[in-house]
Amino acid sequence: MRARQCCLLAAFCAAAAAPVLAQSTATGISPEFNPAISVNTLVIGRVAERSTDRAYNGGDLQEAEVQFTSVVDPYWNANVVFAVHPTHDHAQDNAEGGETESHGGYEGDVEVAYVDGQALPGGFGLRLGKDYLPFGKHVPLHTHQFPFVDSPVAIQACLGNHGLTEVGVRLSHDLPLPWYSDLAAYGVDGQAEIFDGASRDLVYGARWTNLFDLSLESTVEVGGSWLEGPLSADYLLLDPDVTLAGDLAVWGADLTYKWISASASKGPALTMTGEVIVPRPDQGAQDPIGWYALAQYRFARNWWLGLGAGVLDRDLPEPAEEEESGPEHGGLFAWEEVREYKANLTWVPSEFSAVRLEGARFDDQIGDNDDWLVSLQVNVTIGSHPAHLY
Amino acid sequence: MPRLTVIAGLVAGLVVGAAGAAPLKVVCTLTDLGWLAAEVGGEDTEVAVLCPGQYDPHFLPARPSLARELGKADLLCYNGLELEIGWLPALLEKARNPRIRPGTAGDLDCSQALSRVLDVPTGPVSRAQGDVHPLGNPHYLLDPRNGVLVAKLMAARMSELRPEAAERFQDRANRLAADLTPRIAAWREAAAPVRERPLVQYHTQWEYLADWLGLELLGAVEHRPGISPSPRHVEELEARGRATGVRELIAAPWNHLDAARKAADRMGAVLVELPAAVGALPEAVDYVAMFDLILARLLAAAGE
Repeated sequence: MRARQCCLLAAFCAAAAAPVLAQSTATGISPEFNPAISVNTLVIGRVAERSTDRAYNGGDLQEAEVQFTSVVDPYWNANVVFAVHPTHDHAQDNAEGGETESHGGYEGDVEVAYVDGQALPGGFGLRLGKDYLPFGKHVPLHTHQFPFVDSPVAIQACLGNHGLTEVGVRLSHDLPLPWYSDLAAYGVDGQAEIFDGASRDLVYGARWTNLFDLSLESTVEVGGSWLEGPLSADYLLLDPDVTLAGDLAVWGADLTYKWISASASKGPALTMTGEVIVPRPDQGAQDPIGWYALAQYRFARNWWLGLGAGVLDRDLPEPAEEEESGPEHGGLFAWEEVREYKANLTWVPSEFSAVRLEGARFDDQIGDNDDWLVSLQVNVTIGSHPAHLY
Repeated sequence: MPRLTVIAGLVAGLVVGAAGAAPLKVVCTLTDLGWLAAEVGGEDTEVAVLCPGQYDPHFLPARPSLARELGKADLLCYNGLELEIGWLPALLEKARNPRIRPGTAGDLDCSQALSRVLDVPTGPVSRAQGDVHPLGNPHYLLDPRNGVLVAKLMAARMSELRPEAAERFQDRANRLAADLTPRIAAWREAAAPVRERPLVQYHTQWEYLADWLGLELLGAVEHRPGISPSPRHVEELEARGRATGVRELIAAPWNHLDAARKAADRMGAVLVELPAAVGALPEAVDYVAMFDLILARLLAAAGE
């Protein structure tokens, strides 16, 4: 972890651990004003049928998040999340020997650090700082909120493996319509892997969320998203010798039905979501499209069943003769075009822990690289974790 | 005294303020609070409720449409003692309403009215104890004496926000207290036959009712709040229930009634479903009817 982040973390923890002192006037230490602190940890064990990547075989810490939430003053609320996860490029194909070279280790990052304006006129919302971009349903989720162990392939391929967390400004407003309708627009300094981080051009976009109450127990949400920014030089490229320039525009649409029975606390509940992502880079497009659909059903007080499927699709050129059997690969998502099918069973004994067993099947549509992936994930939250939105 | 009907968790007063003044928009988290606010506020308020009576108030789905309701509020009345901690903060963040921001006059934690909070942990608090409430048991509105205290607190806060209607708020709160006080005594007197019979509860939410009526609560099926009971605990409870002659197991409609019924069967008791909130059962149309129904069901189970 970077030294500066460590210092910040240490300062927060020291403040949190301070004893309750009656003489705060003299000491200047008043625990009353400490932020709410929580830690979420995801531990994972997995095995893949074919992939040799260490990320898909063995046990690891998938992610640990330390979150601080507090009221700043009458005008702002603040939220800061430090995340630690395995070093992203910890397995690389050795070009000469075709073997996997594992580096291991972890890296930290300030995943989220923003303030929300609380006193803007007209009911406007203002967010300043670093946060997940409001694109679709999956991108804004923290890892421990994912409905499956990993992001859908469509999200990973079209929007990057490591999420879209960017620094900038977001303005939002609840539109005066008979149903809940929130429009958010933002401008950020695009540093995610799908953007050209060296460019001085901003990434900007918008998200429109509409939620209809069908009854006390059920809702339908319809959303549309768009973002545009300077294109990364290797975005969705097939040919590693080609580099790109220009802009990337991504469009998205999503539909979610949610039903939560009022008959009993933690009673039956069903969520069904479908999302489509349509990237349109200025160059090298091959007209890509990605989508996924999922369903989650709580069939008993502490048990959820999840089913999902997804596609990353492109109009690919005819593969060269020598590539017909498919390239050797170290990572599951080195493929150019893929179908995914997932199922999981999750035991949730309380709001603060969950154990998930998941099976996933990835079908490469080009070569013979189909793969099974079985994962066991433990999700634990300690401390005062803020409630999640609907 | 006229009694307002609370239907499906939504309470609305008439929009006819004195001298044409805009009514105070009051949003209450619970139906009980909504009924009290409507009684105190009368035609000077518009009252909306977030959690319908049939929902477990611990686990209300935080639909964004509820945040829109909060966005219009001049006054937010909530139960407090962390009962709504699982959903109210998320809604408040989404509502972006500076009038009801914590610490402002529009933010009213109704538990501040209490003279006594039950089950305040005396030792270290840990989530190993389940969904324990560190500030004490939050189900205080099941003692109508606390309802009277909350009504007076609401009147004071409404008066602060609408000084021109302060006298009317105070008058209505006093009339409500005058109406409830003899009922409270009558309900307690009527509960005498039940006092002889120890009860088992499903979730630890009937302590205030028991404290007021003088009931004996032998234990809870959920020995750690919000956590499924272990077979061993149910066995122990069954043995204690049989040894002490428990005849009734009381539960709210949103509790897991199948598990409650099985536990009752094992100890030779009957399951008595009680309204734990206004609107929790169809007959519990308001705060008074809720206690009428609680007493009627307890007495019927006791054969009275």
